[in-house]
Amino acid sequence: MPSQIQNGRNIAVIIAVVLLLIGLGTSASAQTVIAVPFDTATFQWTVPAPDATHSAATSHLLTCGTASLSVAMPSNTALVKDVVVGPGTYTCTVKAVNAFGSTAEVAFPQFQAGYLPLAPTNTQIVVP
Amino acid sequence: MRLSLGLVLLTLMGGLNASAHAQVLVSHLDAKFRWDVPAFTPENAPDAHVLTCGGSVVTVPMPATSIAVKDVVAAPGTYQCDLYAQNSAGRQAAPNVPFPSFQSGYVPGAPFMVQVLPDTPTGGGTVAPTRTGSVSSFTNANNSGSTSITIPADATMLIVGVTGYYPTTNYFSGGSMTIGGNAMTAVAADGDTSAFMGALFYVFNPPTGSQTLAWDWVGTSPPVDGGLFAWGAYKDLDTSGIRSSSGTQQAGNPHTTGTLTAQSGDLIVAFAEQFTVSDDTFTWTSATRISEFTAFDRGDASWAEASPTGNQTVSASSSSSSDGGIVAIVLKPAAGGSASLVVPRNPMAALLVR
Repeated sequence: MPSQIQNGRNIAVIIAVVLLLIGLGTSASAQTVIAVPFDTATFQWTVPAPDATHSAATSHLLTCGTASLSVAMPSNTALVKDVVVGPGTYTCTVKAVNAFGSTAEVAFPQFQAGYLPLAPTNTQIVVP
Repeated sequence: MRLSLGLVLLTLMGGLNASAHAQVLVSHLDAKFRWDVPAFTPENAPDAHVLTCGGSVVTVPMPATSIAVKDVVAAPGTYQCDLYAQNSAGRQAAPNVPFPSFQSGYVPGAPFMVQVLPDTPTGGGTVAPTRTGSVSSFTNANNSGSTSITIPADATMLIVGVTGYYPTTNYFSGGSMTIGGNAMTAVAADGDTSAFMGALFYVFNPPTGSQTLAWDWVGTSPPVDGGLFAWGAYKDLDTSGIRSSSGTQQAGNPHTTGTLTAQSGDLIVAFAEQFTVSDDTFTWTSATRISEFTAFDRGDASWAEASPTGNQTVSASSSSSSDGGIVAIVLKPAAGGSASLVVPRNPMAALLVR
């Protein structure tokens, strides 16, 4: 094999590896998880107005894995802690429901719910 | 020759709600009629099945054994339908086979702008403005007058559109309109006397129930053409004011608003009007037609709504392009309530009738 061709192949392999590493880095950053306080974090969504081929929703169904919560209209918020039992990383969805059926599920951004730290105690100024 | 039908189902892609004694509820756009065809021989093979829902009769050629509900009945409603098999020798000897009685309707629109917030938003989140009740219309070709309308109890906004023509600038919008004695704000599309005219009037927190809607146009002369009114009531909106408005006039199609300042969660309400010598149909772009009115005295109009995701225009074109205009206002959402826990419904997989 001529050395020029061999060199060209090596360069191509190096470029491919670099592109792969860049791709992996991009993928990792795209999966950034939102961190929220478990006790106060809230799901929120906007309800579209009924139109010629969509009627009003009677409720919205939140689902996080096997956990779910039905939220009656007109409310469009729900506490995270009312849906999932404890801190963790969750992928959740919401869909609109009425007597005639429901919509496809719409995904919330993936998030991690955790407890806020305890406030420090025994604060003092120490003179050496 | 003997033809017969086996299992008859009303089925649905995505779910069907019913109970033992309740009406079957199905999605109008997704539900399908479906049936089984018993084993047959060349001598008694069916050619087609005929499905009847009131005055609607649809023939389904073999080998198909299903048809979408929306292809049989045009609009949502409560229906009792039946089916029979036929071939060149005639129709089945047995009585028609009934489907379960059902009510079809539209599923809701999907939620959007879904997010996870670190804290509960003050006063809850936003609920898009919604029309309460249907859009109604009436006609009156006088310079001033009044009529009684019934505003739904939950309405927090009344919007009235009017169209016609008189060769005076701002003939309609320069006049006045009141509901129960409360003044309404005008959005003009009647500044150009070379085109058919229109205007939209609105007021927040109107008195509800039976109320007197009164108007008094500029001067004392009645409109030369038109005098077509339409009105709708809305709720779940910010009553502190509208986000934006636009009123324009054109010599012909399309009748397009200026760019409306809007954002997700808002609701755009638009009223298009035009000179005509027939009863026109309006085709809307970037909005959904809610009502089409019967032409009156060479004026015609249509009402539409849109759920924007940002700034946008709305346009309408009439089946007979002529001079006219369009008026639109953008309603802002109101704060929503708090979350509540309710028992999820149990969908029923299917309902079979033999």
